[in-house]
Amino acid sequence: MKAEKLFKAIGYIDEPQLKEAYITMHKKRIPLVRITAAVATLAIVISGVLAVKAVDGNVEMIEYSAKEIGELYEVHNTLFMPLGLTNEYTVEKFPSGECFEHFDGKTDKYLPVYKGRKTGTSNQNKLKKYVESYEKAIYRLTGINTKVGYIHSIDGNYFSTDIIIDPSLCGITVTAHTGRYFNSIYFRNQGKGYLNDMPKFPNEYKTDEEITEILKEDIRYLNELFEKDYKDVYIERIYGDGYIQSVVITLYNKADELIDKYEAIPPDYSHPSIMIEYRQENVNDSNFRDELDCTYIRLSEPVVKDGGYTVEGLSETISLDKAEEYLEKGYVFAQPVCPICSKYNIALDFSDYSYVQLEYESLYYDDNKITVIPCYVFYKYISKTSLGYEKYARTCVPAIELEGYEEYFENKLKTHNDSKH
Amino acid sequence: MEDSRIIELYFERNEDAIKESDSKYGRLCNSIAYNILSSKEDAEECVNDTWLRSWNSIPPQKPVYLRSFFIRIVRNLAIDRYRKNSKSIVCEQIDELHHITSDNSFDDCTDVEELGKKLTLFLAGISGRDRNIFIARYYYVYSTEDIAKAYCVSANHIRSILSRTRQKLKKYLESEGYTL
Repeated sequence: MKAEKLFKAIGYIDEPQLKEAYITMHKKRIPLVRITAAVATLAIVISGVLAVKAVDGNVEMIEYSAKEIGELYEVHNTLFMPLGLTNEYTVEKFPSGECFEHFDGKTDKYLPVYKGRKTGTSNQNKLKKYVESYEKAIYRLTGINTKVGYIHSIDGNYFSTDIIIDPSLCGITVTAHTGRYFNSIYFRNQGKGYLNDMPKFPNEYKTDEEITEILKEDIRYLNELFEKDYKDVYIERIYGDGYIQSVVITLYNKADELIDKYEAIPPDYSHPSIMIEYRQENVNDSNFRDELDCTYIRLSEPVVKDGGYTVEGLSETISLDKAEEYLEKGYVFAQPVCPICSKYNIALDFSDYSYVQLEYESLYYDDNKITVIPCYVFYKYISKTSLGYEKYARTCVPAIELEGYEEYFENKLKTHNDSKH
Repeated sequence: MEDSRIIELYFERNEDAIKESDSKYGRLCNSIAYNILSSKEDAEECVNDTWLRSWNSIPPQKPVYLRSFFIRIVRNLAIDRYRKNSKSIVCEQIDELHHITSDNSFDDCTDVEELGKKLTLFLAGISGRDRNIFIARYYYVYSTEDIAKAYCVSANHIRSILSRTRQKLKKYLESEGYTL
C-alpha cells in the first residue's frame, strides 16, 4: 500500500475522534479562567416567571400526543441539526454557578405551550424608515453616507435589509432586522477587535470590572452615538468546544420594565440594549487565537405588540417523578437520531443526573413558525475542562402530559430492532 | 458566522458562501495544505480549489460537519498535488507513513473510505492520548513540535509515541488482510 493512500484514508476517520483530537490539541494551552452568568439563562428564568402572567385570561386546555411532539422534534432536527447545531444525544454546556437556579421540583398544575412565527413588518417603508432613522449614527460611526440595499422578505413580511457600505472604505457592514419583539441594527467590524479607533481586548483573562473599566470610553461613545442612556453593563463569555469564542457586553437599563407590554414572553426575551460582541471566529485555529476577528455592535429596540408568541393553550404538568421514570427508560426527546441506541451519540447514564430545570424548548417546524413547549431539562456533570469549567450533558423530557408517550417510544424501539442499525 | 448559515449561503447560490468559508476556515485549510506541500503558492491554490469544489458539491451535498468537509477536500487536493510532484516535495507526515508501507504493492483496489473505517476501529482500540496525537499529526498535519507544545512534553517523546502507534497500526492492518 502506498503511504499517500494511507494518508488519504486518514481523512475518513470518524468525526467524534477528529473532534476529540482537535479539542485536546487546543485545550492544553488555555489557563484557568472564571466564568460569569449567562444572559440567555437569565432570560429563560425570567420567561418562566412571566409565562404565568400570560395565561391569566381565558386560555383553553390543549393536549398533544407524543407522536406530534416527536414529529415536531424530527422536523426541527431536519431543519437545524444537520447544519451544525448538534446531532448529539447530549450537549455540552458550560453553565454558570452564579446564575443557574436549581429547580426545586414544584410547578404549576398547568403549563402553557406557545406558538409563534416571525412576523416582520408588512410595510417595506416602515423598515426603510427604521433604518433611515439611524442614518446619522451610521454616518458618524463609519464616516460614509449610506443607502438602503436589498430588502429580504418571507410571505410578504419584511425582515431585514442590508445597508450598502463599501467595506473597503471602513471595514464595517451594516444590516437591519425587524423581529418578533425588536428592531435591531447590526454593525459588523470585520477584522478589527475594536471600536472608536482604540484596540480593545476584553478577553477571558479579565474580570467583569476590568472589562467595564477598559470599555468605559466605548460605552459612553455608543450611548452618545445611538442617543441612549444605558447605565447597566452585563458581560457574557461564550464558549464553544471548551474555549472562549466571544465576549458579549450588553448595555441596558435594569429598571426598564417592558414586560407588561407583551402578551406572552418568549424564552429569548431580552431588554432593549446595545450589545458589543468581540468575537474570535477562528478560535479553533491555535495559530490565530490571539486575534479578535471582528466586533459586532447590535442596537435593539422594542416593537410593542408587533407579532410574537401567543399562548396556544394550557397542558397538564407531569410530575418530576414521572419525568425521571421516562428518563430512566431513555424515553427522551431532543435528539435527531434513534432514541434507543443513541447511534452517533454520546451514550450517557442520566440516572444520577446532577440537577434539573424547567425550561422552554423552541421547536421550529417551518422556516418561520415555532412551537415552544415546557420541558424538564436534565443536566449531568461530565468533567472539569482544562479551563476549570464544569461541563454538563443535557437531555430533556417534556413537562406536560403527552398522550401515548410510552407507546411512541416502544414503537421507536420496534423500528430500531427491525432496522438493526 | 455559524456553519449552518454558511451552508444556507451555498444553497442560496450566494457567493458570500465562499467568502465566509474562507474567512472561517481558510487559514486552517491553508495551514494543512502548506504543511503537506511546503509551498505557499501551491497551498493557496489548493484552498481556492477547495472553495470551488465545495461550490460545485453543495448542493446537492449538505455536510453535517463543515470543517471536516473542507479539510477532507483540501487534504485530498494537496495529496494529489503531492503525488504529481513527490520528487520535489517532502511531506514529513507522509514520509513517516512510508515506514510502514511499501510503494511496490498493488493496492489500486483498496477503498480509502473502507480503510478509513478500519482506521477508526484501530484508533478506538488504543489509548485516547495516542489516538489524539496520531490524528493531530496525520489528519490535521501538525508538526511534532506543535503537538509537543500542546501536550507539554518533548518533541522526541511525541515522535516515540507516533512511532509505536505506527507499528501497532502496521500489525493491525496486516491482521486485517492488507498488504503493506
